[in-house]
Amino acid sequence: MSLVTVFKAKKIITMDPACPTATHVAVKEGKILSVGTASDMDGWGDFQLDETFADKVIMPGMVEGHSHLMAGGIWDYTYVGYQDRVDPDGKFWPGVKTIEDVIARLKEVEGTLKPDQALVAWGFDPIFLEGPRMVKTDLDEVSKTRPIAVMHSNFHLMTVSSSALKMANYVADMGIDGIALGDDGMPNGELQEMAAMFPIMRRLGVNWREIGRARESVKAFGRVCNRVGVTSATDLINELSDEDVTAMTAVTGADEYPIRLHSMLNGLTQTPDETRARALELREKSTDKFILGGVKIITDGSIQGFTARIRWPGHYNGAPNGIWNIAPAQLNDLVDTLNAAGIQMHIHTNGDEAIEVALEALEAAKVKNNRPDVRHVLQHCQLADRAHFRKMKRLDVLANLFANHIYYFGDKHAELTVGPDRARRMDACQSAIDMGVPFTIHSDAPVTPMAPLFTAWCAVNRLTESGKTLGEYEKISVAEALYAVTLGAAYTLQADHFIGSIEIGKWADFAVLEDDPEAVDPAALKDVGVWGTVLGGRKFQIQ
Amino acid sequence: MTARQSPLPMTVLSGFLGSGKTTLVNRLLRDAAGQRILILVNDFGDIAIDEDLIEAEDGEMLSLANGCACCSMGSDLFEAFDKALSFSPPPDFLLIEASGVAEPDKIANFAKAEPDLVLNSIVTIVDALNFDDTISDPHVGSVHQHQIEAADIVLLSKTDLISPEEIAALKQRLQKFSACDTIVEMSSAGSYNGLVFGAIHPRDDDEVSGGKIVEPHTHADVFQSWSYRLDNEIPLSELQNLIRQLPPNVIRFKGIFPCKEDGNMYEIHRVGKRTDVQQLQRQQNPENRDSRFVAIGIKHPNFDSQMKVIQDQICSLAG
Repeated sequence: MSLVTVFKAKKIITMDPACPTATHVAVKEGKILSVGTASDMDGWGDFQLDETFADKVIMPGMVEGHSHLMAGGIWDYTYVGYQDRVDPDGKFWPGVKTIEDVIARLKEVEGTLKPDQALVAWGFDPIFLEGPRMVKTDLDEVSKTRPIAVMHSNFHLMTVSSSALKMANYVADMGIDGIALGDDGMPNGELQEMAAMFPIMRRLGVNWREIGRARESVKAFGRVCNRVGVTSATDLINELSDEDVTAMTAVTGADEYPIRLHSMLNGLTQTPDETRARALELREKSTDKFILGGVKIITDGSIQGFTARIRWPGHYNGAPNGIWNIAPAQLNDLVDTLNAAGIQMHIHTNGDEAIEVALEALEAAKVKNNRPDVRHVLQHCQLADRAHFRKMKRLDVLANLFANHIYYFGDKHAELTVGPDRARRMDACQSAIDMGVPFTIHSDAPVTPMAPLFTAWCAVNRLTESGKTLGEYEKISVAEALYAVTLGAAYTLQADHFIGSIEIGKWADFAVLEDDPEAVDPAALKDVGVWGTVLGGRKFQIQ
Repeated sequence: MTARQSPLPMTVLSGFLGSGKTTLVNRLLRDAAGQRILILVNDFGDIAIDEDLIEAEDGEMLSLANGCACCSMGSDLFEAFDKALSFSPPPDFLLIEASGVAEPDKIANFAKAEPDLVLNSIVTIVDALNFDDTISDPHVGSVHQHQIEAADIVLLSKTDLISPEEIAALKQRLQKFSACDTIVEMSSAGSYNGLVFGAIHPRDDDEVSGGKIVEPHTHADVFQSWSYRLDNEIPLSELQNLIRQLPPNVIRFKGIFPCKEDGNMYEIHRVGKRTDVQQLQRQQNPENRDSRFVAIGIKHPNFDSQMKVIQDQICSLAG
């Protein structure tokens, strides 16, 4: 049997300007041996021709630069979101459009549970539902005895049944922030923020971080990626204990695991020196499919939650400024320590004040230690203005822009959080291009669903959920968006030398599509079908 | 008594970077005097506990010879509280050392919502030397102001480094921010456990109908305490009114008493300006239905006479 496989396709998009498209790609030992026409393959001797993709389009395996393992494990719970979604096993979950839909779905699942099991759901979003807000009595219709908890899509709110309220002794107005009251002055079932949700979650055994850690969750995450053409994805914050690293090395190392997982160490749980030591230690534990060594640093909160740090003139609706997760002075120390050691940082910055503080820290660190071997990334970077992009260029700092926000939260940003003008320059891909800042775009799954072609569609069309265009100038071309979700993302992971394009010597990681994304109407980019992927030359058809 | 108080009383210790939170934590651990204190520290795993207090170290957990423990809480409050509540053997007090940029009232909300926790107090340390710089910092000034506004008790650190006039001016400024008017200058000696935890209990050895003032043990002590026990039921609403009008140097006041209106046992707890009342869930020993009160205050020449007045007022309420 031949050691070389040649895949024939209708079209191969390579991201290599010397050979932008091809029809054949040869693979040997998991790597790309040759790219071009049928005759280009001949010189390498015997090969096995694989014509599975003869009528399909191959592009580089897509790279999700900002996602979380929870995107897999969350499906242990029942989905009750407004938008249609597909679970890791391919089951289609139509969006729920009314409270009655939610109740009907919960009733259906309720019948399948064991007597002592709680019913937990996720993805609920009252913003999209007309009529009164869902309350405990709606959930009591599903069951009077079984505790029921419905997590909202933003993970900051939940609505629970009367029996769940009783577990935490929430049976009267106790004057506690976050326990919403009904007209009768009694808790109505809606709980806001972790402090109020904690007693229920603890008693129901719901722990979001555990959901991301479990072995099955890592596997389910792989299936989530495979369904949308992703062959490399980030697990963009993890405590990475020795125990977890061992387990994750085993799961990702299996031949049937469909992605390369890039896990980043949480930089806020140890001292800077300890974080540096651990990151360097982890880097050495990397394998071909489990890539370690980067550090995630969370500076502020979220714009839609009014917890991002925003500069003057502040929130459009007058809400107070957001929160810091790390004091700027501490950020300076941490950034300096990690930069000096050549450790890559992924710095979560949503608001423009957080972006500014992070850039100041990076500038000071880079003045002290020139490390051309490391490229740091501002994650989300949603409110960066053009001066910020110029500074990022000057400092060699990269951006990962949250393009999906334009669709999912764009209307809310224009109306409430930052107002129409600043909303128009959010997630400013064209400005990044203008200033020469390398960038990618992301989903932050499970905050929004992972699907890089959808994310690319957002960056190209900038349409909000209500159908408005948000920021005509910041639209980018389809070619630029496809580059962003492949080689652009690989560059932000310092992995552009082994993934992100179809070039000789790189891993044979491909996304296999039913249509040509370069040829379809840009408005239909999100609808291009995905057959599956190829990872290291092995085919992974969506199951 | 070694049995754990249930629910677990929680104190939030807040204050900006370098204000002296870790120094205070070390003192609280050293002065635990038989109380088992569990401390969760933030500021990114830096458990700077004096070496000589540590008995054993296991990962993120330090065990102390006196039965206290100290643990890094990481960045996930869910895990931190879960850990604290499943801690074995259960501690007497929980102290959360919030990060320098945390909003302490948000952390305090956990204790208000969780039935197995009860909020003891929010204590915020203000660095008297560096206050101006911190409060005018464009990025963190409003955060620090929020920490002061949320406090039940404000502790002033580093007051030995500024003049008495500067201290007085600072106190005036803080009064404007602060919802509480309990501002205590820290000194380098004396125990702060009573202040931070309210680790004072109505005592069994007090004579019925007799008040008792405990003088400071040493001249360095900055606090005095008072306790009082009587045999009668007390009307709740009138007691609440009385307690709201305690003199400002009385920092903590606690009472356990049978209520005249409904006959149930209640606990009333005042710290700074906040007064909490809760009906005791445990069935009290029917023999043990006397009323007991304790208070802790800043050392003051009139403390004795002040408390005598309170005592007479309680006595007349009991009728």
